[in-house]
Amino acid sequence: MKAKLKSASLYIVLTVASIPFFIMYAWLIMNSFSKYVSFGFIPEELTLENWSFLWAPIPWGLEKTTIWVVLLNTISYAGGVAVLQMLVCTLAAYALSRMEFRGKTLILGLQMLLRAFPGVLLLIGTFFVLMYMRLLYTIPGVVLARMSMEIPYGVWIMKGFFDGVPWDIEWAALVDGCTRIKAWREIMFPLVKPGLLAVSIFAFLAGWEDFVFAYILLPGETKVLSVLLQGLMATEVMDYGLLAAMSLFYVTPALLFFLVAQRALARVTIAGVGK
Amino acid sequence: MNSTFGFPLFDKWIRAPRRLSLLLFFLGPTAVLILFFYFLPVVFTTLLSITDMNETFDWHFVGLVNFLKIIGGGDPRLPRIIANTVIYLIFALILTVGLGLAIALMTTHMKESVGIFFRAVWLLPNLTPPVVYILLWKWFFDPTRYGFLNSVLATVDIPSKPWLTRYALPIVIPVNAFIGLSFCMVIFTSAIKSIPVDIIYASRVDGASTWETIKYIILPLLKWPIMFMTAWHVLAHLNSYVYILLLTDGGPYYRSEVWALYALHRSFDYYEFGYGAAIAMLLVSVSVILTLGIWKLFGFARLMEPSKIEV
Repeated sequence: MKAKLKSASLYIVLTVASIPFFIMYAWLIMNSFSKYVSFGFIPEELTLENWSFLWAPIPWGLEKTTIWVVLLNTISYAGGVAVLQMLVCTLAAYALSRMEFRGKTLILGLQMLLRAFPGVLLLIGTFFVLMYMRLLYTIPGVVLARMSMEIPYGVWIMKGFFDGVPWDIEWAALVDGCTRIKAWREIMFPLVKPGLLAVSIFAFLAGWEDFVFAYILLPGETKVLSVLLQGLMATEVMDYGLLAAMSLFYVTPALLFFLVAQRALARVTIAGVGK
Repeated sequence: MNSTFGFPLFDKWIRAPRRLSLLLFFLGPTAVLILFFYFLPVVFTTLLSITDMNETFDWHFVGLVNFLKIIGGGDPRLPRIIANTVIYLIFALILTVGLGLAIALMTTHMKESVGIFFRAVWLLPNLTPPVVYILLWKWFFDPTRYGFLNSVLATVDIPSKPWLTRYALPIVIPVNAFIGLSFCMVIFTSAIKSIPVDIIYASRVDGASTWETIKYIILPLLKWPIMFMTAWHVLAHLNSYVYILLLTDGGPYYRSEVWALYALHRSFDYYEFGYGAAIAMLLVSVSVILTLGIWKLFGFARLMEPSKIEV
């Protein structure tokens, strides 16, 4: 009896603590389809008016842009980060996992140190780097800058995947006359695909969800979705219906992508090599 | 390894440049990007910190003037910002690690499916993009009756309050801490699950209560992840500014401004790039010292694995 009471209190404590989250996320969905919500999530007067940004220009003084231009920009930003990250990290991780050279420990250590670098410091410097490269306020510029922030993390993850491939497989390929690059491309590359998928998904999400880099290096509310949302949030009177609808529009693709990719990830991992 | 040409000596000459080009092929792109987006920015910021670069982009070297301004009290806003940063760091750390541990313990001590559900709920802040997550809180604390808190209080006739302007720092701390909390929760949960069950059973057989099992068995075994997460979040919180920028933008009048955000504001709102860079430089020095200390604590060499093939 006492034990039951105890576990019941556990459930109650956790439920009460989680209530704000339930309400907030319920509100996001409810408010996007209604004129007004009472007590957070009870919708009143259902309407699709909040979603009008999908077919009409965006309200609040942004008449010249449609959401689709902004969406396309966001996709090219996130996609650019993902593709570059995938290419750069597999190459580097292979060398760091499978080759012996002077300064390797230093490079790996540096990668960890880079993670510790405050974003602010890098952001101020990157602003000037892009300015001198004439890439400031362009999508390629912000892609390069944002993607570089993900390198240390991606290289470490990929190194783990390369470490996990048995040496015998690569030895066999080399003994059979493969060059190092051919062995990387045809033997190793297919075996680390799950890792590659994971790294590119996280890179894509990093680009999709990024706010600060776009805010500083690609300013203007008509560039990417996160900055557009922030611009609409910073106005005096907030149009919560529009904000909720647009937030859902912004979150849903990312979530779907994440879920689909995670399923694929699970499948590939099972089909992959064992140690 | 077998010889390409049958003459081992000849091989050695041929191989050296090939090995170099191989390394260049694999490491070149990373090296270039790191040069341009880590190394150069650090060099630029260091140089900026000893100049008076501003919005005119017409600059002169001014020596240590910017640093002297920070240390010598030339900026009346700094005491408040330093106090904010310290308060923020301490309380955010307690919330992140403490609450993360509490939720990990609670969800591992209930039915598995329910535990997974609650962990998923507490993971939401981390999965939601920052802009959307902050929108939710802005609505929660909205100063008008459209806000959740005010609409609930209105039912008991309490007038609306401007929560975000009145309690900026106390609100910013938990909102930010929930992000790190998800991370702690995940790490601690997997650490708790990796504890062999026989140890837990043995303590039960010996008559320990759940609380005693947690206190004498689980917590000592979690020492390592707890230390690691604490160290990690000292750095993370010290350098965090994105969520504060979005929620209060440091306001009202610097009441929720922290060190990292101040560097950003000085640089990009007031275009005092030189002074902003100096502020960021001080932050990085603290961070680097802390990181080196953490490395020493956790033993970096353990993460390395020697290669088993020579080209």
